[in-house]
Amino acid sequence: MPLLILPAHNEASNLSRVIPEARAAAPGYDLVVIDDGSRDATAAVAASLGAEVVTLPANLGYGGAVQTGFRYAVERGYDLAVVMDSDGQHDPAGIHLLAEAVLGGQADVAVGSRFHGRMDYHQPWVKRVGMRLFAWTVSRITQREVTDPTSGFQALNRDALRFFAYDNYPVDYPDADTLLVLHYAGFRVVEAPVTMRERLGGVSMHSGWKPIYYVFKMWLAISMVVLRAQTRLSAKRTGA
Amino acid sequence: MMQPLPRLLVFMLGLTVLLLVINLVRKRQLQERYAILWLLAGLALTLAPVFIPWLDRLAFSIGIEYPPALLLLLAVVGLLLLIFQLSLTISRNEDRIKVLTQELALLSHAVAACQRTANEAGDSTRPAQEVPIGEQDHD
Repeated sequence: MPLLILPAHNEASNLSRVIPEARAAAPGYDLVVIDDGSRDATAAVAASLGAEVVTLPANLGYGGAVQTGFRYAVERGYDLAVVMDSDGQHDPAGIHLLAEAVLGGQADVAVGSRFHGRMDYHQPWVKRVGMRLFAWTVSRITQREVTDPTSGFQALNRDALRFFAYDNYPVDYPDADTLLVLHYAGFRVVEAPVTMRERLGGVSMHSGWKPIYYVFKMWLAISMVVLRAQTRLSAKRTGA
Repeated sequence: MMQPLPRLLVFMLGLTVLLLVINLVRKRQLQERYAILWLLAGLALTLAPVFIPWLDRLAFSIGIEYPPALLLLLAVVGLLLLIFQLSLTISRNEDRIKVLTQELALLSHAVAACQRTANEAGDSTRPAQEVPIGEQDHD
């Protein structure tokens, strides 16, 4: 049975819609909500909807929460995990599409791309420009078309889960740099078209000054991944 | 050239720093590896009155017209070293805290699941235990 990982920080209001939607779209999936030190009723809402809830006692940030989900998956022996935002941005219809790309053996990691799919989605311009630049960089290095490296809608197989569960995963914003780390480690990454929507409610993690911080942070992270690869410090894939 | 009173003040300041740092290490409130840079700073201050004539000569010889500028430059470099050491420590500690937080969350979840199954198994001779681990600090 595959696992659906929902990292959630103060998403009580959104989860009450997202969890039933996800269950309906992916009935065969176990569902774990990683409550990233929320101050609202995130954990209680998720538990009342029948999801497993892992509550982080302090707020770690998006990457730290997702990695907790990977550890959960590895420790329980799941062969496949799909990560989906719990704010309603990701259309759960994409779960099967991503899972099939991995289960079919075409890839170790499948990333949902909003630009391959239908675009009904807005971003601050700073972040949009940054994302274009990062996509271009990653595409150039991996020699494979990457249109949406910031997407957090991903499916991972067992090897990729183990690779990320204890190391190699950034705490704050894993995205374009993470795809490069995978590439240099010898994993195959493919993109699949998915639909993204405006978040249902609450505060996005990319608001105010954060887009600018985000772009600089990601630029530094990507540069460091490339530098590590060139100085033979990259992490390598280990067999199952 | 420095006047006798400022020299004495700098000497006293250096001595105070040295004594403070040594005392904190003695009471195990400051670890040795963080004390080293502070001890060097204290030592530099204590010996400053002796070194200042040399410092003046050094400053002039490398083309610095105003010797206190060299002193300030050295002080800034020293402080940057101290701060850099702290940044390294913070990076390492954040990594450790992340691992601890994740491990604690997963263990709490596992323990809660164990308690649920134990309660459901219906050990009727003992009252069911209700310890909602992980929920305690959420009011």
